[in-house]
Amino acid sequence: MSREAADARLGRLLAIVPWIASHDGPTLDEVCRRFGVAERDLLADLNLLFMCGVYPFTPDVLIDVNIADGRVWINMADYFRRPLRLNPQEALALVAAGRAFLAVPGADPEGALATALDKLQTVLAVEPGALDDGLEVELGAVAPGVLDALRSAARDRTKVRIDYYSFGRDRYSTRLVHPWRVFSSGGQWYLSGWCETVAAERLFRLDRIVSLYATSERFELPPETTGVGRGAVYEPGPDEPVWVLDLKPPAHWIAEQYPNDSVEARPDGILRVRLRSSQTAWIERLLLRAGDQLEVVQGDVTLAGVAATRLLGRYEP
Amino acid sequence: MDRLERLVNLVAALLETPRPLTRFEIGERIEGYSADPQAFRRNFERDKDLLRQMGFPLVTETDPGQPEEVGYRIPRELYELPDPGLEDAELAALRLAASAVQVEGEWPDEAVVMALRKLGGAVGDTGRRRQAPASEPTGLAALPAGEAAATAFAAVAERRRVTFTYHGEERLVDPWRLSFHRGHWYLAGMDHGRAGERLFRLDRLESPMTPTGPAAAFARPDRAQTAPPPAWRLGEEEEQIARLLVDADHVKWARQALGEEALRETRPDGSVVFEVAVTSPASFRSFVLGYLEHAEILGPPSLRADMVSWLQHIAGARQ
Repeated sequence: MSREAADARLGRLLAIVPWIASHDGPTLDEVCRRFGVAERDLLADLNLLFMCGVYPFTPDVLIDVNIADGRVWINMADYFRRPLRLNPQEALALVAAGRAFLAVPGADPEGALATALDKLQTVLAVEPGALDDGLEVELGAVAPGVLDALRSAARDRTKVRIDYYSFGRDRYSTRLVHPWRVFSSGGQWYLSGWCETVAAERLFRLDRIVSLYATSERFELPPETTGVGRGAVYEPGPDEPVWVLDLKPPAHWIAEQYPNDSVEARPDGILRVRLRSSQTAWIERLLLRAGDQLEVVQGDVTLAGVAATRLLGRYEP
Repeated sequence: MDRLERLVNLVAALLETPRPLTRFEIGERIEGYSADPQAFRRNFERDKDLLRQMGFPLVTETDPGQPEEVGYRIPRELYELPDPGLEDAELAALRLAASAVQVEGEWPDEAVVMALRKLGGAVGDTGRRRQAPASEPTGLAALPAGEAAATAFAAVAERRRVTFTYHGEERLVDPWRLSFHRGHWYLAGMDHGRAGERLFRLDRLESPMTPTGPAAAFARPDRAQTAPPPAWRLGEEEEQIARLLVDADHVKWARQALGEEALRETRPDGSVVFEVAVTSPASFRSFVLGYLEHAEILGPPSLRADMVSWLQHIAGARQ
C-alpha cells in the first residue's frame, strides 16, 4: 500500500473514476498509462472504492467496481460522473505552459496544442469566448532563425559558431560553442554550452547573437548534463573584484535589479550593496546611471569619472 | 478506517444531497467519523479544509426546514468540469507543452499532472516522474508564478472582481488580462478606485489577491494594455521627442529596444538616428547610458544639455 497523502490519492481517484465509468471496460494497463499511476496503486484505490457509496450504504447505492481479465468497469457512481473542475493553480499551470509553448517561434499556431487550448478556454471561462486572449505569455525576443538553428544543433550535437556581443564587456567576439541547452528564463532566451574559444562553460543570451553559423562538427555532451545552464542569472566567480556601494534612495533600484552578495540598510536611508564583477562595461553603466546618488566605498573610485570623461568626448569634441 | 474512504464517502454524500447536510447528519451518515463529538468535530474540520484547499466548491447554506443550523453541500454545477472533448492528440500536445514549460509556483509540481488527469489523462505517462521524448528536452522554459497569478487567472476566466493592496491603496479591480512579460506577471484591468485602466505587476502586490462577488460581473474590452510602456514613457513631464544617434555596431540592439517605428535615418557610416517620445528624461538618460560611448543624444537641446551636465558632474566629482 502506498503512503501517498490522502489529497493526492483523492484527487487522482476522482479524476480516474469518471473516465473508467464512461468507457466500456478499459484495460488496467491503459488506465495506468493514461493516468500515470502504478498498477499497484490503482488496484489499491479501486479496492477501496468497492466500499464507498452514499447513505444508507445498501448494495444498491454502493459503487460497483468490476475487475476481470485485466479490464475494469465502474457503475453506480453517478455523483462522480464528471471530474472536479480545475482549481486555479492547475488551470494556470496547464494553460500558461500551453500558451508559452505556442509562443515559441516555430510552433504551429493551428496545431493540436492550439485547438486544445481553444477547447480548454470553453470549459474554464464563464461563457464561450470569455477567455479569448485573457492570458498572454512572452518568452523573450529572439530571431526565429537563431532559435531554430540552435535547437536543432543542440539536438544533433553539432557545434555552432556565433558572433556575440558581450554586454558586460562591451565587446564583440566570434566563438565556437557546443550548444548544450536552449531555454527561456525570466522572459529571456539563453544558450548554455561549452565555449571552445575560452575553454569554459558559458551562458549566452540569444538576443545578443549577431550571427550564427551551423557546422557539421560534432561534440559530446559532458556526463553531467542534467542541471546544465539552469541558473540564468549572471553569477560572478569568487575571484572577481568586490564592489561596495552606498546607494541614496533614488538609486535603491540598483539593489533590486543587480545581482549582489548582500544589501545592508545604513542610517539616512543609505543601502550598502556588495557585489562582484570583473566586467568593466557592466559596472561602468551602473555607476554612470546612479551618478551622485551612489558612492563607491570599495572598488576603483576613479572608474566612473574616467568613463564619464570618455562619454563626454562625444558631446564636447 | 482509511481517511481516503471517508473522504470519498463525504464527497459523494455532499454531491448527491439535494439540500444542505448538517454536521449531525454528516456524522451519522458518513462512515469513518468518530462517535466522540470532539474527535468528530476535529476530523470534519480537517476534511473540510482539505477539500477547500483542493478546490472543492463546498458551500455553507441554511436549510429552510432547519433554520437554526447551517449545512453543507457541493453543488454539482460548480463541481463538474464540463467535457471539453479533447482528442488524444490534443491531450498529448498539452502534455508535451507541460513537460517543456514548467510553470513553477508555490504549489505542488503535480498541479499540471492533476489538470491533465481531470481532462482525461496524461496520455502515455507511465510513472510519477514526467518523461519527455528525447528530442524535446524538458525545461525549454520556466515561468515562475505565484498564488496571485493563479487567482488572477481564475478571476479573468470567470470575470470576477478582485481586491488587493497596491502602492499602499486598497484596490477593487475588474481583471481583464493576465500577461507574462520580461519575467514578470502583470494584470491589466479597470481600477474602480482610480476609475481607469491600470496595469499591476503581481510581484508588487502588498496583500494576497482575493476574488470577490459573483462571476460574469463585468464586460471585458477587446483591447487592454498587457505590457508596461518603457520607463522613459512613464514620467509625468511634458512629452519631448528625443533624437538619438546610435553607432552602426550597436544599431541592432537599439532596434530591438526601441522598435522599428522609432528608426528615422540611416547614415552612410551605418549609424542610425532614432526618434523616441520621452516623458521621463531621467529614465531616458539611464537607457542611453547603457550604450556607453556608442550613442549620443542629438536633441532636443534640453535633453542633450541634461546628459552633458550629468556626465560633467560625474567626471568632475571623481577627478
